[in-house]
Amino acid sequence: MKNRLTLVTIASLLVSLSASVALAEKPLLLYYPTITDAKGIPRMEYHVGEKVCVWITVYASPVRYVPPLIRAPFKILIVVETRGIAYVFGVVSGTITTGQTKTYSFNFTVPKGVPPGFHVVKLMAWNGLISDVLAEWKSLATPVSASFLVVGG
Amino acid sequence: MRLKLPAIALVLIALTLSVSPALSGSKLVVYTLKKAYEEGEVVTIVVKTSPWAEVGVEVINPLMRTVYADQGIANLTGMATFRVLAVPDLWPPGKYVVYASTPGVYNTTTFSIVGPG
Repeated sequence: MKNRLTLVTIASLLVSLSASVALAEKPLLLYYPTITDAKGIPRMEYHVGEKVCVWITVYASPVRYVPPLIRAPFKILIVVETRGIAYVFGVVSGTITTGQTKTYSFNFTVPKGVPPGFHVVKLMAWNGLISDVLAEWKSLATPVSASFLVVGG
Repeated sequence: MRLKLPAIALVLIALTLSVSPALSGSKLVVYTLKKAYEEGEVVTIVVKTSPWAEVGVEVINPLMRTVYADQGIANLTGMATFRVLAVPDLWPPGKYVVYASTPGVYNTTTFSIVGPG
């Protein structure tokens, strides 16, 4: 009985260790990716040449938050793609402290030549651009995405 | 039995750590399918590293501006592929540098964009 209890305790410790490693790797939460038109009104369909705004909220959970972020601003990245091919890229810098929630926005114009259909906006958070941080590169949040429809010719 | 439990625990810890690419000292190779692309063409970037590793890529244009960055998860064979359109206005002719990283390791490659004609 005592041995079984010890085994269960060790297993629990390992599970919590794995969980804490996983959480430490993802200190930020990205949520509520929202797509709106230039007036800030959520909309699903856009034409070529129209402006699209993307809003994303970042939360630094007290549980997940890694203090060094205070000293090193992070990057929020956006990629817009369709049929697996990216055609828009953007990046903004941000800083955040434990427990804080911040919202960032991007905007882009639906370029000529993109095919009609569903397009995906993917948002990511990194500890820096790879060209700056090199092997120290880390993804700080699980990427999130939202989609919109390009209509017309 | 007293001796076995710590041994089991050590093996489990070793197994847990070994699945982390950052801690296992994984290698990373990055290349593009072609060494030269025309403006408006789709550039394909391939990264080969450990299976299931989290991979990031970044492309710097000749003006030292980041024109693309993305992340993904390597597949069972350790391969991750990224495809991006070389939009003419943002991707002028010249030499481009691709950075790729998985936590703890990075590598680079280059390719060229050539103008029409």
